[in-house]
Amino acid sequence: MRKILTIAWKEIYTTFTDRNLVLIMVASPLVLSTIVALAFGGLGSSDVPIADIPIAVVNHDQPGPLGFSYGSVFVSLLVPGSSGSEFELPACQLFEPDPSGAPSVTLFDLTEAVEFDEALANSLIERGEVDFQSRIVAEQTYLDSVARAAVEQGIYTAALIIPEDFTQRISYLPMVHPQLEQTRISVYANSGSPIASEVVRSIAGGITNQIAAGNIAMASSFEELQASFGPASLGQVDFESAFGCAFSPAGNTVELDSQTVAGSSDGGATQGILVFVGSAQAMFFALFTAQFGVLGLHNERRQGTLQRMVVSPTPRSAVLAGNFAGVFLTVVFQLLVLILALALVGSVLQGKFDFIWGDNLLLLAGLLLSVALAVSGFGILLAAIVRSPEQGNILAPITNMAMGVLGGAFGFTLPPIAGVFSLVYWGREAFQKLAGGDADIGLNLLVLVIQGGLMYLLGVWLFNRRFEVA
Amino acid sequence: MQSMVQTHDLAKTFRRPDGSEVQAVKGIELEIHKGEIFSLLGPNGAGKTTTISMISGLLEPTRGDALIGGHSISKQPLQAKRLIGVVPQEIALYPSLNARQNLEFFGKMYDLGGSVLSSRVDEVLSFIELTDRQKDKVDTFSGGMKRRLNVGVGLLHRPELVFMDEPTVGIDPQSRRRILDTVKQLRDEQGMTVLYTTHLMEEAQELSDRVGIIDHGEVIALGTQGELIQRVGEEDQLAFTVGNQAVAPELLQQIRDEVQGVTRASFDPPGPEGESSTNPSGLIVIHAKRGRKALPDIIQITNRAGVEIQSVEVREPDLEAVFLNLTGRALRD
Repeated sequence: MRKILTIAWKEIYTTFTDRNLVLIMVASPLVLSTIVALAFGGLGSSDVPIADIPIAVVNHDQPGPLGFSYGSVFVSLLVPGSSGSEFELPACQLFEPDPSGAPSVTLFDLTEAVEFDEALANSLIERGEVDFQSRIVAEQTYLDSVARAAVEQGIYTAALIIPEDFTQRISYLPMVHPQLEQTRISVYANSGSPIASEVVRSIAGGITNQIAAGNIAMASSFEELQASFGPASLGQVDFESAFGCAFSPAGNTVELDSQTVAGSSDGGATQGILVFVGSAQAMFFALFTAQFGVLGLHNERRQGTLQRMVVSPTPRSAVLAGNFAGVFLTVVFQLLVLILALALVGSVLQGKFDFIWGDNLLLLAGLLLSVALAVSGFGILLAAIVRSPEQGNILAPITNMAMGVLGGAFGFTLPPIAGVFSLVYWGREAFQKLAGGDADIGLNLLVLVIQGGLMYLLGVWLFNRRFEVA
Repeated sequence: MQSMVQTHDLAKTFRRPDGSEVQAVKGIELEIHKGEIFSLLGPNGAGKTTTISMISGLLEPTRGDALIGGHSISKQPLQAKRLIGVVPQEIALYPSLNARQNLEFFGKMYDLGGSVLSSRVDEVLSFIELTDRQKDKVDTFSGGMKRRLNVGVGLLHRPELVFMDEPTVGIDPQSRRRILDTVKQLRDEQGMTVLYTTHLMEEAQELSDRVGIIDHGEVIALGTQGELIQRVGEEDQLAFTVGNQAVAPELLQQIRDEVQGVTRASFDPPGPEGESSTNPSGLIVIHAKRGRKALPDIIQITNRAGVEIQSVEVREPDLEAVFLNLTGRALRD
């Protein structure tokens, strides 16, 4: 054991005394993450809270059988006092104001939404803010297209397109339309603002679900009333109040589903991006550290130091275990330094101390160890597959780039179905959850540990079989 | 004499990428006595390093075994390895660690620690004369200093047996001299057994108590230098340069007849003038036992015959001649 630790310590020492290596391992991900956070989160992030996400809402919805439009409800929830809306969301009398006087965070606070109608589209084009050439299109396509162009040109973070049959599909009327149908709200998001886009997607999903749920609840209640007291009883129901209470922001019924995506509620966009990109970048660079650490055995063989260890009374298994332990501890140390450094950067940008990784330090430590295991397991496996450091130098960047892209190391995400194949994805998601105060990272830890453990064992087995010392 | 190393039918076969096999070592039988310097002499590719690698436990033999101080390197590797110090052919050091850190690291691989390790490191640094550079990183060292440290690492745990695999390759004459003196010191002052491989006949001659000549993976001759030389005869070779002068066959016959110990005498005339030749000057070549003693008589006879000797070279029998005699090739071929 003493020899394993000696070899491990030598690995760590030689790695961290190599200035160039440290520059790549620590400084590069730190600088890249900070640049991305500043670029997409805005300098001085405390001035750019997540509440300011600009959204264009294009409402094509037509009124349903009862004469009102859920699309308008949707618009009302995001755009208070929207002029084009036929539906004015009534105040709910059922909710008592918060006795503490703390302002409740509502969707109005989260977003800066506008109802995107033809007048607004025309004015954007006329002012030259949106470059849109083909106006000879049907009205619906035209509005969608201009909104989309406005997103692409950065005027809005996202555009929500509510379809014509939105109300029709999600109305639940026992006699007329007894089944809910699937509907779709299109979200065109700006890839330059991944966190804000995630928030918008989350909000859109939240509102739609809330409308559907409220709709079913009301319809069920009406059925119950009618069955119990007869049709006359329906005349005594204050529909507007009931409707208002089902969707009113005062009830916080759709409150901040997206918080885990964006980070803590008082954090800015920069902090969110720091967590998102920083954790993924840290793992991306840790992959290189692990791979080149294990590939170092090939270099040791070339320089003869490996043979020197093997001819000493040190079992070959101890030499390998020492190297692998060294790689694991190096990665742990690298991740730890990066996490602390990113928290420092976050605090500096915020202008106050803010540990961006959340307050569950025990889980954070567990996550860090799990990530280190997964990353070094992957490194050992890759180093065991290649025959020489040269092969490793070619293969490592390709595999790591794939892991990084799938996991979101470059500031954008792919569909989760692709991401699940990347350990960067599982690690990054867990870091984000912890940062947002969500401790539900059991699955992430499990995947990382199993993935890492299996790769570690397979790598060691392969290495032992294939690696020739002399 | 107590045996330190014994090999029995030690053999190694490598498989080439194309599937064919090459027998690097073909069943070597060796015995190295305790306290002796044993040189394994052979040209490059003869199998010296493969043999040392098997005896030191780095390579697994295809067949056979080696006993180190009575411990089988295959069956009791850790016990056997404790007795061995290895000085590899290449500089096997960590360039980013300093001299002391390198010694400490490898010392720990031999289970040294604490004050024992510290005092051994000081001792070795002093022995290899690097005490004042102990805190400097190895990659700032000259080639000779690296070689000395390379030797020092192999001696740190005071092994009973030291393997030195061509330790003087690629270094300046001064450092080479220092290493050769070190090897002799190890035997004379510390009683270590040294297995020294080289392709330089001069080194083997200077150091060795016994020599094994290896070629194509086989030990073709084994014994003290005197024993090996006796196998090819003990005649010296005398070469007299005579320029463009003619040498009559009668003169050569007279030398053979009148000078005691002379067995052969021949004349190698100069090459044609103006052409590049390996022999621009005429050469009388005489083989004689105790050649130096015969020298005055030969010069007297040639002077009397009117042949002026321009220079004389006396070549005593050596391991090079032994190798040439055994293989038909020079060591450096």
